[in-house]
Amino acid sequence: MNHDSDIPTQAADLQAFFDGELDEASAERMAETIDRDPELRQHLDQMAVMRDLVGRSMEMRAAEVPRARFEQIWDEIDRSISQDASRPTAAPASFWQRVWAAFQPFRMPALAAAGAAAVALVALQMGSPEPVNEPPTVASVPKTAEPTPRDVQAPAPTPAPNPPAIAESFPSPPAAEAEIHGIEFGGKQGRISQTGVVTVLYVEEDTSAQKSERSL
Amino acid sequence: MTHRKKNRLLTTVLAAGLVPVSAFAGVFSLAMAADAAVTKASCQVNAVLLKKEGDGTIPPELEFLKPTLQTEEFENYKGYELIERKALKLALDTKSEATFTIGHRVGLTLLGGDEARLKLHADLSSRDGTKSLLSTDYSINNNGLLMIGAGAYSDEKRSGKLFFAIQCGGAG
Repeated sequence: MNHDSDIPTQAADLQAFFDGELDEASAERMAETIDRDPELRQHLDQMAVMRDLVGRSMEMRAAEVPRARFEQIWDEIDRSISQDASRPTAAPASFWQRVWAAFQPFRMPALAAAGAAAVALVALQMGSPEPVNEPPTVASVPKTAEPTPRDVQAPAPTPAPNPPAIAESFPSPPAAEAEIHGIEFGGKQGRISQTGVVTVLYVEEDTSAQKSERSL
Repeated sequence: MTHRKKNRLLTTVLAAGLVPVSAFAGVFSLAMAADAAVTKASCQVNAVLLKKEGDGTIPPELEFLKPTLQTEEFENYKGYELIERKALKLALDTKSEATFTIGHRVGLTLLGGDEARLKLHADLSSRDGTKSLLSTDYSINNNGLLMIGAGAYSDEKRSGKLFFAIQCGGAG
């Protein structure tokens, strides 16, 4: 007999048993419990029937979707995964960045203090008398311009040998999309993709609805 | 002479000068446009196999496709192979056709255009040639590229997605 407090736990365990998620010992215990309890056995059978129905329904719906569409969906998924993988992750903040952030509350007062000090220094300088007995300052004579390492022209790099020329009568195509005035897809499947650089028309030769290896 | 009379005289003089110039420019433009209309075009059609396996190196014979293959649209592909290249000469309103060893036929017709832009018709047959997979009218910049993705392709040596890259340049 089941106690009321045991029912939710048992239902969860039964579902986990059904899904094969219990560890070996728990699964054995659950199997024994099911053998003893016809009500649980009935629940388990109902779950199996339900899964079968849902699975069949999904397969029927999948069969209605053409293989080409599955391929397109998977391509889009692959593309989004690639984009996520290639997205740069934020680099951890360096020591100085953390110090700078820690001093954020003191920045304004520190700047104000520095400004006041600068004003005071200028005022003191203006009030002081002219220095006496000091040699006149002489403008420094510019040294003969010596070539700095940056000025020295590096020898021109020798051009890399060209790859073997391929007979190519056409220039590189300009980045431009085509304007489609009319289109008919043989199998009533296809799509137009405008990338900004090129127009791509996708067609699929095999028009029959069939399961792909990637299908549900 | 009053101000109004001056204005009227100026308007008349300007009109007398501008109307013939405009008319001449219009006729000249039309004549130039008529001269620029293309009646012939040269095309190349490349059957290209794109594979998800590869080191991303684009072979020299497909170097002209590099900007295209490096777009987001094709970023899933890392292997590139030219299966076959065909050259076609087009005359106005006359269909030219190329049959590839893998079975597909690509037909191209020059419908018109000028030095900057061509109007074309393209069609693609199935591998066994029994049915049309695509039939389209399009206009594109001179030497512009149209890609047709013809789905999965495999033979004994290779497998991937088959694309036809069509590039046409017009001539007077």
